[in-house]
Amino acid sequence: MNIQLPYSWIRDYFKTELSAKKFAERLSLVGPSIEKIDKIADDYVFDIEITPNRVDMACVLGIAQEANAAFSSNEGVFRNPFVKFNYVEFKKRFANLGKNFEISLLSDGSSRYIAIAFKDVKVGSSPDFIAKRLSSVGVKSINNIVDISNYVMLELGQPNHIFDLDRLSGAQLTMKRVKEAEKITLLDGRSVSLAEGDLVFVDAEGRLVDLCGIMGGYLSSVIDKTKNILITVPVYDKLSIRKTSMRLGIRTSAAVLFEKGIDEERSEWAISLLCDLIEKYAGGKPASEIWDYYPHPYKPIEIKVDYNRITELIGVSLSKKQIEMVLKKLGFSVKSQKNNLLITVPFYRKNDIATVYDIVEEIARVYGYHKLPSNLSPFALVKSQDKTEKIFDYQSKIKHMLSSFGFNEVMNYSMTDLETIKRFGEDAKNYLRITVPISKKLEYMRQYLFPSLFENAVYNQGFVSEFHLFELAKVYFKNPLVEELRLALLVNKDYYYQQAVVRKILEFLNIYDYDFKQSNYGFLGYKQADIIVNNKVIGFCGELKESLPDFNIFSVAEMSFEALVDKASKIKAVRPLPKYAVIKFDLNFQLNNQLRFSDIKQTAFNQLKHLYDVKVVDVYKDQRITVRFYFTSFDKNLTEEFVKNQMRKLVVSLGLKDKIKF
Amino acid sequence: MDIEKYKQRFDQTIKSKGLSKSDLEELKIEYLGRKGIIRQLFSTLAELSSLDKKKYGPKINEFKNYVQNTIADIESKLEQNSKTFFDPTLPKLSFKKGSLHPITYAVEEISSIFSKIGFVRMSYNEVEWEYFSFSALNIPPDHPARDDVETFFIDYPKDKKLGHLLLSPHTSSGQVQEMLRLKQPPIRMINIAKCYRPNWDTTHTPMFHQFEGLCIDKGINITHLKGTIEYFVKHYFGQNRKIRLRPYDFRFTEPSFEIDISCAVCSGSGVYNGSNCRVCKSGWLELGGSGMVHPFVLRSGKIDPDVYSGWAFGFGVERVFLMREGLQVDDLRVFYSGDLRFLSEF
Repeated sequence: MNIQLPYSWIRDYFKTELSAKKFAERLSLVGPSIEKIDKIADDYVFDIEITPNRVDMACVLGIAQEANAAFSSNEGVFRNPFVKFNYVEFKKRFANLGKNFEISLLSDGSSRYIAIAFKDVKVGSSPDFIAKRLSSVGVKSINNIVDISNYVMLELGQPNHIFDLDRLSGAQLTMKRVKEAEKITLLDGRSVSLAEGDLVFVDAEGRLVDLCGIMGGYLSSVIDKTKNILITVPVYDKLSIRKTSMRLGIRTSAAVLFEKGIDEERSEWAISLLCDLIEKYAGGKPASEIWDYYPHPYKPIEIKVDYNRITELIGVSLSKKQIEMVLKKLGFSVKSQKNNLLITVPFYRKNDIATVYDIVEEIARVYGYHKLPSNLSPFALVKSQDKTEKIFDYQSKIKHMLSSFGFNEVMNYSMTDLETIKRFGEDAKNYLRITVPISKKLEYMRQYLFPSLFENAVYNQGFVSEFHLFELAKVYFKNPLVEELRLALLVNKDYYYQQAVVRKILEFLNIYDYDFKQSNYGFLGYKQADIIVNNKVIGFCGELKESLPDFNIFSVAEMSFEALVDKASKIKAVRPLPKYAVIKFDLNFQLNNQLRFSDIKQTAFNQLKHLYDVKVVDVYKDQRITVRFYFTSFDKNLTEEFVKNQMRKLVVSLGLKDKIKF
Repeated sequence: MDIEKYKQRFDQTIKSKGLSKSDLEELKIEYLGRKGIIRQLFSTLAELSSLDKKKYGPKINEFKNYVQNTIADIESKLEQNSKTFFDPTLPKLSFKKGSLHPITYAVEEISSIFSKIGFVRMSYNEVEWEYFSFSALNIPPDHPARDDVETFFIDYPKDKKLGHLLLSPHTSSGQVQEMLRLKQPPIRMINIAKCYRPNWDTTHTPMFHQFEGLCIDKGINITHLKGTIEYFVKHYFGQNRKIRLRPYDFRFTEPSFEIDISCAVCSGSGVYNGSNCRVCKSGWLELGGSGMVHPFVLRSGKIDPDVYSGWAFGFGVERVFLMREGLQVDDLRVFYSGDLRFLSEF
């Protein structure tokens, strides 16, 4: 959250001659970040970022307390008027005034609630200094009563509310949680719908008079003729406030402060300041005692920390005295006990200080992070996982290989939509689904990458004439719950081109034991195959059934990257070079379902002696091929007769004795 | 007789420019043609005395031969040239230009910078359990980050111990898993991964990348965090960049810092060309969050916070990439749009 405060107001509490710029710069390095300075008339207004754990400093007094720690005593003097404030003494003054109102609370709705009645107030305009300070931070001046309420919140960080006591039927406030939807009119005149669980106050007639912690109700608000008022200083359950405020989208300063969790002690300071200002600037006179609901009074937190552990974690050695001084400037009290420090946490820090680490933060930031030396973390040998390292290594290698081969890498969202899942013949039931998606386009977790690549082609069809796309990313399965890294490719070419790319990848990884077996994926045409490595299917490649007007054909391939890497080897097994003459023999084959090229190749290597290599040298209509067989021996020169005999053996093995004669 | 004058003129024409074939034809007509200069010179011979005829006759012949030879020379050179002419700059063929996604380059560089100082790159699931993303990191059940407007939850049966399934909103989900994997320090991890949050506008994409550093050992303190981040910044952004730590608040670190680096545009002065720098906040740019690992988190990873300590940081990959390259990308969504006009630039 961010708050705006004028520098002049902060200087009421922290007397200093520092320029606004210098003050902002130095304070930002130690505590709250001052993100912007605006010059307004003769003053400067700071825009201050408050982290959620430090709602205690979201006020003039809080910033001044931080300044006290950030600057030396030569640079400024902190004056907290409440240091000597005695709440018990303060209350005595009103003790005999009785009670002219009735308040009942819910124990899970409020942890403290202070109230007092004032009579004979005169509603009018605010004194100049209040109106001016409010307007400099963008708060509109309404009247003296409302302005005082806002003024106290900005000064002490304690939201509070002032009711017109006469407009509360039966002078009664009863806290309740909304049971079924009803409407309340807020003091700014708008009407909002409440939902189950919202915290509200009703009066004796059961009318909604206050939306707790967010905004007062219209029915009980201070108006021009208001005479008697009820000043209230509450601390509400932070979760209730957040829930209601978020749902209604009403983000008042009070709501934002309450939902971060306000301590229960500053309300004592707030009620005293409110009484003081109402008497001074609204002519009011106290009309009741101070009513205080506080079932679990605060007990100061004391923590014991090892002095050595503090310096160990900061990394520089600081004397006990230095440490004590920093903590005292922040409002802690410290007792030294051998190697330990007994630290009492001030009430306003009760929600964020609990361990030695918290103390370390306080000391290090005030000492100055910029003064700490920089050290590299000491080198250590860490166990890594070979498999993970290998995957990262090959990711990089394959990506660069494909890119220099003319492929463009894309990264698509890991989510897809129902339409795409159906379009490629899948059942969305088996897909992981986001409970509350931000768009129908990003609802399901992908199980295939290629549909996204096709989407990329659709998107780019107007300005790209050739597609060579790839993506390396995870897919996500539901049953069982696993993630798999995949490599997918898309080209606007036929099956054979895509298959050549796949072979190129396999051989780049030194995988030679591969095969392609015709497969039956619904989204691919008949030219499709499973990619098989070491007898395991690791992916598929084929021609997509889908196409685009300007592109006849798209082929895709998708493989498990983990399986690829698993089978990859860094160095190819080197064959000895032929010593004697290599004899070539060409043979033509008519391919069919029983006779595929890989059958010929496999049979040849299984059955023939001294076979060195097998290559396709000519292809006619994708069905008639010329295969060249290379023979060589490492002991002697082979004869042509020997080779012919080997080839006859092959023809017999392939069952082609009657068809091929030579 | 002005033979000398004509010779000079001829020589000048020859030298003056790169002559083409047609220029040479014109020259031939001008000097050697039927009404050419040489014919004219010969015809003036008739008016001269026999003594002069003897004197100038050979000179005209000499000039004629000179012209003929010179032109023939140039002609043959031209012919030679046209046979061997080639333009080495003509891009007659091109290999198709491939490209890698810009995030790939950033990820590779970041891993390499950290691997030099002994950080091991790890990877954890993107579909993650609520426990590792939140509970184990000291983020209580009522924390706003655990709302479904801040995190993508997955429709899946809730696990008794691990809670709901979700898309990891930050790389910090890997912290406790790395502690449990190694069982005990030393830990030096760099985790670079896709993260997901439900924001989709010009400055947010629902999927983005983070890199997370985690170092746990005996005696690790704030100066190690500062030094390691400084090492990264100087290697990734340049030796003259500075960093600063500002107090911040994260649930899973204590103390927590926001790391800023000095702006390259205004050299950290906050002023550029006499006015406020448009790129940074008074000389500094926010890099990301970091801090000392919270004792709660160490305990989640079964590490004793009284014996060990550690630091962690998590930065956005897209962010550091754009910050260094000084790229003005008006709409961050272009990274994941698959637009090849953008992607093939890299």
